[in-house]
Amino acid sequence: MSISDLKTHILIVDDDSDFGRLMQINLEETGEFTCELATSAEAALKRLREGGVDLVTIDVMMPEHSGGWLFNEIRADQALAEVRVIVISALVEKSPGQVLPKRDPMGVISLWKPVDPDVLIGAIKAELQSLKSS
Amino acid sequence: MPLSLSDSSDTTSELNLLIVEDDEDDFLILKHQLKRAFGGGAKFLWVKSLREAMRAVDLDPVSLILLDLGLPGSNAGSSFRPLAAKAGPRIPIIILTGLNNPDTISSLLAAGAQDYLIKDEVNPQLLEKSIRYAIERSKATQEIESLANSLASTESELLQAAKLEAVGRLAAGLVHQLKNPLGTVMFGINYLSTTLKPEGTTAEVLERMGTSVERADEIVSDLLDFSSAAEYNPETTDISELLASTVEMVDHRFQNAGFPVALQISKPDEPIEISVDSRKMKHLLVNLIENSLDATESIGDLESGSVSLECKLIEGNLLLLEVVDNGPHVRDEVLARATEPFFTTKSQLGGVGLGLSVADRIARLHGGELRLRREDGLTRASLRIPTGLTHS
Repeated sequence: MSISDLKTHILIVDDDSDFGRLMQINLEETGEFTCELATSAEAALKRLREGGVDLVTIDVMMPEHSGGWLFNEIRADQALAEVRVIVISALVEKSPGQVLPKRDPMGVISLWKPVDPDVLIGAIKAELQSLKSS
Repeated sequence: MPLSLSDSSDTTSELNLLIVEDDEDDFLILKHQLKRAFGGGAKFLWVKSLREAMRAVDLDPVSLILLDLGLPGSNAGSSFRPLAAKAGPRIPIIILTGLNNPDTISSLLAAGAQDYLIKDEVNPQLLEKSIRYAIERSKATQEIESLANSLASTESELLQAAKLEAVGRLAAGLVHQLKNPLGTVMFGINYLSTTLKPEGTTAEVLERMGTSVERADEIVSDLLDFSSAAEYNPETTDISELLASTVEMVDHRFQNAGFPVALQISKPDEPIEISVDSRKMKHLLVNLIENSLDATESIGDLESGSVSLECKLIEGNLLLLEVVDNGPHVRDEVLARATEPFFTTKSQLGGVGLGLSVADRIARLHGGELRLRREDGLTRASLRIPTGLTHS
């Protein structure tokens, strides 16, 4: 078993490859995660079905199929039941002064762009924790 | 105060006639005929000059004016226009003239006189008919004018709403386009700050870049707020909770203001329930408080800044929320325009002029009203909103 097998593997889904790539660099810099990118919802779903992804971050607004479509496909697929999901949107309405992300009524963490890297890492850890405790 | 004609369908019961006639004999003849026409159903006020007539319109209840054109010191018609302007559309004027002068008469009818009577031809039946019709016509004219006015104001509101909606849609699109690059830059700055362990100028450059990105993000978020200020999801909430979580949101800004400033809250002890969109209402209050906080920054060293949030119930179902600060004087013109979208006095500080505009839109959304005024050296933003609940 190599070191990378112990790290959480994250699939970053975002049609903006600059944003996705820099998110990857920041997450990998922590030494706790390995990441790969998908720039469309379809490509992401295909990759998820190949297995090995612990957590996926989904951009909501993407051309072709949206992040919402991808989210529903993941939830509908029993084989992907253990994949953790974090939603990242440019249009999340945050309350003024709100610093910490909130879970929506379905229990999904939503973050807004531009994401503070510390907040993002905190959210990923909280999500992984919820998997262990469930 | 002149009687409101539209309040009553039976105008004869409160018919107050102002008779402007310099000739006493003519007045007595007219009065006699009016008595025969209306019996005790009409009251008369007799004045002899235009000056007295103007005063009577101000001071006495007048439902109609009978105006003699041959007043001393005025040629035909010169007394009509000032009196008509004074009387306004609510008090009809009937012209009395000794001569049948078609040119003068038609010009006065065009200028708003309701009718004309030739003195020699007047009889009680004609008087009664002329007066009743004049009052009815004047009521109808007023109704038409009021409808026209409300149509014009609805049109201008619609136009304003359409403009705001267009700006909102543009903003929402723009926000999405801008958030990605901002996010990328923020990630980049974070990465460089972590890996380079920068010092000196490099550290300063990265820090200033970070601050700028945050500021750009705030501007973009303001635009997003502005574009979404029309959605409304009311829920019943206790005002104390609402105020407490509002204070939580702004507390860090007061802690880190960099100048002496304090935030005080005053509210009634008893719980007040209110039906509002909590998220939006907090947003409104945060905007007002932050605006006040910004204002107190330029007070100077002699005094510390003070911002207070005051809340009380007035008139049963109306809640008054006020944010008061001791910031420097604000001119009336600035206060009047403060809620206009994109009006700002803080453009050097990165303000885009949407904070108070968003607050105003949220207030209206709740059927409330936001007003700003300067009083006793304090700037006062007063929000009156219905609690939305019926108290038994």
